Amino acid sequence: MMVWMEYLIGAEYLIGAVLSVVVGGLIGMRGFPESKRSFQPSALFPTPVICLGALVMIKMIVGINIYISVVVGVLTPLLIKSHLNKLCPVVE
Amino acid sequence: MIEKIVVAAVVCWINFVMVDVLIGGLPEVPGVRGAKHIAHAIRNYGGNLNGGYMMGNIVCSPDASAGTLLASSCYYAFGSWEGGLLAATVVYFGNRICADPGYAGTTGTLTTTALIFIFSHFGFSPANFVAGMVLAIVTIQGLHHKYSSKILGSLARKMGTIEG
Repeated sequence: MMVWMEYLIGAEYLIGAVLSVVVGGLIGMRGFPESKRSFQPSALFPTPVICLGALVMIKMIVGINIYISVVVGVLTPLLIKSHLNKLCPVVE
Repeated sequence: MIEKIVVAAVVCWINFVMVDVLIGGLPEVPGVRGAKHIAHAIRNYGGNLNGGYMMGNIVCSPDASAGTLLASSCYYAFGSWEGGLLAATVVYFGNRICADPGYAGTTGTLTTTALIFIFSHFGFSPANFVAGMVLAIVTIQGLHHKYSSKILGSLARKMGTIEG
């Protein structure tokens, strides 16, 4: 019973992660990373990771529900595409 | 208690070495100049250059070993797997600050979170994994650089990450 409850609580995270990958693909991010040394963000990495971390932080502050998951899942890939490489500059 | 820590140490060791070698490709090239200097110092000491690259990369940026330790600590602090997710984000930004693309560290954090979640159903606590990871990293970075670099180099060769 407890295990199933944990999975149910994780549904919000699942929706956010899947949505961030889908939106990342739709806005033209590369699906997979180019190589092991590529700094260019892609839909599968690090978009869902940052989305999940953001959801945990939001849960700590105000709590989460499905609507918040959808908003974060849509906003994360947009912010990553436009701001990640400015926030963490690529070092050659 | 002791046997749980030993089992957790073995699990952590396998997890971080596999992720670092296969996903991060740490024994292939030094990610930053500091890792190169460490690798050459280890080779001069009689060790293996590729194992030295991996040990240098472990020192110079948060790789899967740091990810494993942070995932265990955050899982312990949060009391649930959500801590591991937050740790993955923190490790990713830590990697980017250290001029590392972050594949090894972030993947290692997520795999550790999954492993702790699975092992928690068999009576293991995240605290066992914190202690286990400290023991695991001591075997690589703390006991004997010459032999640990040779072990890492031969493991990377057997897994096909490096040639020769």
